[in-house]
Amino acid sequence: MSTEQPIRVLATCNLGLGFSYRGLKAGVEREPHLIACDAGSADFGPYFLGTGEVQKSRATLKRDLSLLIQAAREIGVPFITGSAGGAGARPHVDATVDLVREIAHEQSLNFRLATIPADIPPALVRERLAQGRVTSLGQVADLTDGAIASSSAIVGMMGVEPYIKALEMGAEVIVAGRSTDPAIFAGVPLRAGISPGSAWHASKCIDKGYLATTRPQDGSPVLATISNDEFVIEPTRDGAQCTVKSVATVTLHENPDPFRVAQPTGTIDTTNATYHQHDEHCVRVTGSEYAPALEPTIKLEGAALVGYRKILIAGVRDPRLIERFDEYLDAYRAAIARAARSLDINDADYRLQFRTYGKDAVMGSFEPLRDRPSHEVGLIVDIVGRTREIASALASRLGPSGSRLDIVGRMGGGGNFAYPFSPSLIDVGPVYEWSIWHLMGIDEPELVDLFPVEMQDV
Amino acid sequence: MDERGPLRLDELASFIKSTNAGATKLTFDIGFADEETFRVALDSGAINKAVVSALYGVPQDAIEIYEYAPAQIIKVTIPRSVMSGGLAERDFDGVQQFAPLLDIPVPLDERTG
Repeated sequence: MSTEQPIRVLATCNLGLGFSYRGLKAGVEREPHLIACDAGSADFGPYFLGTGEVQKSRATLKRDLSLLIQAAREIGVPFITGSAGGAGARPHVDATVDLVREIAHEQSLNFRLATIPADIPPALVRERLAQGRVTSLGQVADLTDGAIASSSAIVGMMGVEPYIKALEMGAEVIVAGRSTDPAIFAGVPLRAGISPGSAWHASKCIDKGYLATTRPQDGSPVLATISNDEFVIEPTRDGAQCTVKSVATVTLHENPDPFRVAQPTGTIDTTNATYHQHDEHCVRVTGSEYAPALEPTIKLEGAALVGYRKILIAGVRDPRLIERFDEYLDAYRAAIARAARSLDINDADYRLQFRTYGKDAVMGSFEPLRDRPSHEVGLIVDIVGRTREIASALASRLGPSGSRLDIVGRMGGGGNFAYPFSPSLIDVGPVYEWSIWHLMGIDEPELVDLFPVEMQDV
Repeated sequence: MDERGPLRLDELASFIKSTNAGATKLTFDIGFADEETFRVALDSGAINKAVVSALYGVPQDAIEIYEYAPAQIIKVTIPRSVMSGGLAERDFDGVQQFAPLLDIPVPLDERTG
């Protein structure tokens, strides 16, 4: 241990997923300097960013928030949650702040609340694009002005800097918009002077809460005790365990590279980190590094409305039809194309997809067994129209066209589709796609300025 | 070659899973119970770019393979066939894309077999 005082950070899993109450109580007894949890993910898809809807139920979010805020106020330390409401745009942050105010009112709590929105003005993205400072992340098309204009919402993933600013302003509860996961936890240790390697890697290890333990189903919070040259990760629920394996696994979770995790100002590098089993339930980590980047970057996420979806679910059991299913689907597609032309609907204004369960619906082009279909096929016919009207018009043709279509000289002749439901068409509603998934180069002061801290007394 | 013939990867590994790694990549984590089994898997050379390329139909230069010793995991990352969450999405979280890996043959030599 170095001579500096270690910093303790208590973390629970993604807000609204629940956690062990006993584990939280035991964690609070360890007098952490911060209680925090992540609230977001892009895994639920672009729909929630595009619509502004919160992905989790209000009741489950309120249970977790209520206990966490109460615990933090009890010992007088900050509570931080980031990527609020899932997608972390303004409506998601506002919905979370509403909950926080409601909890404060019900429990007669008073505190300084900081709100940090993560919405990025489209004009700024256009300007940076024109300057050549926007690059694609992975196999994504180059960004265009059109894609920016079509986006219903654009957020940037903030780093640790806005959190530090809010803490300096005296925030006791912080509700932040879209954020990198470890940034939610790293502000307090970095502000206390802990070395970046140790502070960042420890924050990464706890950013999925109980996923760092051997039994995630027990919901134990985890406590990081962070010093300059090492940190210790342990569960706080009695009987829970962290092992070298369970802690080391966190950096590879949903990450293309198990050793490196990118941040706006650099990269958490665990290549030279060593994990030691400290005692039977906690793990000590040394050798963590943080490699600063030449230029700060912010990851942008944007969602655009691309149409409206209706689906039809049908089962097919006729073996002769299943044997020639690709040929059948081609003929089905042609029939819908004729219907579209007769209704003056352009090819570009709709998209028809067949999701063939029992053949290749789950893996598509990755499916090695697509030529060995099973004895029955579950078919979801998926139509997305540019407008609700186009989707409705073509959807009404899906059942009759597909069920009557005869390519095998069938024996029954009653129809190809076994319908499990009536009505057979299901309205799925608006469909969004990621319109922006890019890195934007920024100037140093923008690490804070793009994410303006708003303070209020609650 | 051991006379029992090669093992299948799902007989050697303790877990094989897939998830999204961001919106454009799919990542497979192949975990082993202990250091010894992890080394057997590595030494066999069973998990390589050519095998993954053949199973998933993606070019070898787009495949990343990592040996992650701290957790005894071999990690394979490939590009998604489509960006996640879009019109053509089949598996939002990418969690059911691992099945073809289960059957990879793992040749055991005399030392390990």
